[in-house]
Amino acid sequence: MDMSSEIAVRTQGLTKRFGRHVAVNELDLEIKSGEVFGLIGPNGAGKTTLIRMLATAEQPTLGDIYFRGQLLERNQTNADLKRLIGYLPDDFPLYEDLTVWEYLNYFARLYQLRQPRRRQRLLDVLELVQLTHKRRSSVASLSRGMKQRLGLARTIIHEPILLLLDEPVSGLDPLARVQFRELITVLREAGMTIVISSHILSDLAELCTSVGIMELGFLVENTSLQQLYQDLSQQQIQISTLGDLPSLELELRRCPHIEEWQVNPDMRQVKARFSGGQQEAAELLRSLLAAHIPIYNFQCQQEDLETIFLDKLDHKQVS
Amino acid sequence: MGKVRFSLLNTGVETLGDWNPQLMREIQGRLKLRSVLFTLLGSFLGQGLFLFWRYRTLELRLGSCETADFLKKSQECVQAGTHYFFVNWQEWWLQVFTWGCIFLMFGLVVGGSFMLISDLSQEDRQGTLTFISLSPQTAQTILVGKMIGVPLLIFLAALLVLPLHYGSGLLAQIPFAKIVCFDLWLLAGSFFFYSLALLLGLVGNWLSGFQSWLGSAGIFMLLLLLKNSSIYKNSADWLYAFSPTALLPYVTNTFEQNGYGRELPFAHKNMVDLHWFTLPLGNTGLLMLLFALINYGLWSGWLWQPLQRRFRNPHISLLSKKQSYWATTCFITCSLKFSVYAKPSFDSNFVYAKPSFDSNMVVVLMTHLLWFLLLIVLLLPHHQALEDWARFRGDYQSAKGRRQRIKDLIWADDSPTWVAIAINLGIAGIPIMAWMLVFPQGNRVDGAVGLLFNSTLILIFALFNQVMLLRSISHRNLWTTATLLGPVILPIFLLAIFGVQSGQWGESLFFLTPFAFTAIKNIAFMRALQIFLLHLGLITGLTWQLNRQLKRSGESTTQRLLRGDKYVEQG
Repeated sequence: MDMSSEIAVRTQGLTKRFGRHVAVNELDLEIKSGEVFGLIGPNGAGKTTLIRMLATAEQPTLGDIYFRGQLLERNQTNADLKRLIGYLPDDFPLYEDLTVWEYLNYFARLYQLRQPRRRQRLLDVLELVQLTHKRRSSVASLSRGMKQRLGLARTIIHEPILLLLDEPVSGLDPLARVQFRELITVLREAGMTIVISSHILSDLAELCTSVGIMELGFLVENTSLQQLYQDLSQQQIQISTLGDLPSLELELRRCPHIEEWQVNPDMRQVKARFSGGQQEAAELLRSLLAAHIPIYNFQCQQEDLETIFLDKLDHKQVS
Repeated sequence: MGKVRFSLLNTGVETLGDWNPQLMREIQGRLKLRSVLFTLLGSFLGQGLFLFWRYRTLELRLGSCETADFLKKSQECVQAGTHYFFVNWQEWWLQVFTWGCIFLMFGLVVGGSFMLISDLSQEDRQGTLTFISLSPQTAQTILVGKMIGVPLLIFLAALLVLPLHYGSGLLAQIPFAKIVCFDLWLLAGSFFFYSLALLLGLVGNWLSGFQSWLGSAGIFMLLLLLKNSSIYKNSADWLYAFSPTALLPYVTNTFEQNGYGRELPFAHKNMVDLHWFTLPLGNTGLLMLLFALINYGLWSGWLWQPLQRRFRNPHISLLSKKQSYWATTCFITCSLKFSVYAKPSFDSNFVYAKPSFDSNMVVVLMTHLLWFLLLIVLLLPHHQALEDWARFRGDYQSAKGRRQRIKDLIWADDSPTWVAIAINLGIAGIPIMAWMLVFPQGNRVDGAVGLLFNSTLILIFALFNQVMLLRSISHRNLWTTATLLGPVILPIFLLAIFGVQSGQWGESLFFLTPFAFTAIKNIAFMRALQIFLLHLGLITGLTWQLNRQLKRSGESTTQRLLRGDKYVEQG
């Protein structure tokens, strides 16, 4: 069987109710092995509930979850399946009375890693999350970014095949965010299947191979990132001029590939939606220069994930 | 040589850590130099102060035995010649040993229970327990690790006490094997109370940190209460099998010397009268020990059922319905076997040694009620589980669906509990009826009617509790307590306030309390029948109300919208 087409996680009619509120509604999902699946949606869309159910931290009301084709049994220890999963929630507690090494060693033992493999794994993971120098420090003495990296180290210590990350970069400073993103990239390259929910969509765009958009407990969009861009993303051209804007707008009106544009008078800048290809863009630039418009910036851009989410999918609030 | 020793130690640590990672985590978290030094200091200082206290109580320590009064002389002196007395040090060491055992018991059981409840509720509050439960380790591994690891410093202090414990025992001429037997009982008792503490820690988070004080104070009070050893020859005697001090009179030979001049604490002099069915448990210490070990083992096993269920899923009922049927059988059988009519021993208190059917019946019915109040809590499904059951499984229209509904009501964890309670009442009723037949005297018809009234009353309590808890309410645990205890206590309170006694006006109120049995003889048959019909009416009404509420809970959003509810939640 082709490894890339193997299904790592599959849910069937997955439903979770809290009181009468349906947090996740008959959700059918398939995530292939090695994929990085980004979950986006407004607050209360059911992302965290879905991740918690996949992590076995929450029992579904209805429906089934399969890991590599194996059914997750209700009210059972599911020891074999739990070994396949690593879960890092948004706000995770740590044991502050232990040192970094003791903490990781404890979880490695919980996941039944034996010596000498355990020691080697601890060293590798500490190096990966750049905490080798802190191995003897107490957990309480770590910064928030370090604690987040330690949390990730704890999540991957047993080499899970599925990594579930719920808002992993929330509350981190920009540098810590970059470091964390790099770590995820390394794990992605190592072939781990990752489900990640984040409100920083630029991060998801960089990391994910596919995305799922959730709303009111439903999975309203489930596609590869490439397909999403192809279907919903339009090209934009950003043009800045030293001259006056009306003459620029006059030229734009003549171009058949420009559908609409937004003007920023302060910056003397126009952002236009462009339906043409590279040839047509070159033609437009040539026509603007021929009309003696003093252009100092002409930039073709693809619409980003955030714009698609906010504009195309008509979501008001990004979580 | 040093390298070899280090390597052995390392291998030992690795093996222990692989066997139980939780235990290793507790050792690493607790065995810090400062805490260990503090424990060592505390233990030695405590022992010193204890010995000093015991020495101070020895009034004749200055060699004034010759001039002491008779009582003191008999307790603390030994006569060596016509006018020559000296201090009875063996007796003094016996006092030291006995008091030492008592302190050891309270320290281990109460202190350890406090630490366990506190630790588990803290982990639950912080959310760290979720991560442990997500690991492939079983609930037993984690909880056994907690049980051994959390009270580690108390164990260390207790280990340091052992030389004094064994030394004082041997100096008091107590055989080594007897001291080991006491310690074995104490260990088994600690295991039982620690299991109870773990359960309280897991389920008591709604008490927001207060549960550790409440739980350990409850255990302390129970152990303290059991220092009185009156044997009533009814179910209440069962409690002695849970108290480690019940073995003390056998260890210190209080029976043989018949308490001559002795004032030993927790003496349990009447323990010799303890019977379990026809088995004279109190006759020998070995029989008591064996019984206590089996008793602790059985009930620790029952405590571990909800422990394992709750550790895996915090929203599941504490016992499954199937487990509840077995638990009721075990509990009622065990408790009834203490309610026996046995020939009193020669030197026991005559009043207590002659059990009457009536007094035993009241205790049996009280035990029956208390067990069922506990069972209602143990079987209580989570509100969400009940709503989901009503929504997806509770209202099948087809014949097959109706059969499934009945099956669910008997066996499924998330269905309402009243059918299971009714089945449990039936299960409990059979051995009680058999017990009444075996009992040599007494009005068995009154007993059977009393049991019937008690059973219908319990069913009313269970239904009332379920009806109240199906509503959408906050502080659910407080409501559970109030709806269970309120209907039990209120009629008794009213009877007490108005001073109503059996045979007087208003005695019908007795039939709304567990004391219906005491009023039966004084009430006319037709009146009793009317009250029974009232019970049945209440059961029917509450069942109808419960089914109505369940149907409403199970309605889909569309059904609610079509009915015209003003506000319908999304989803």
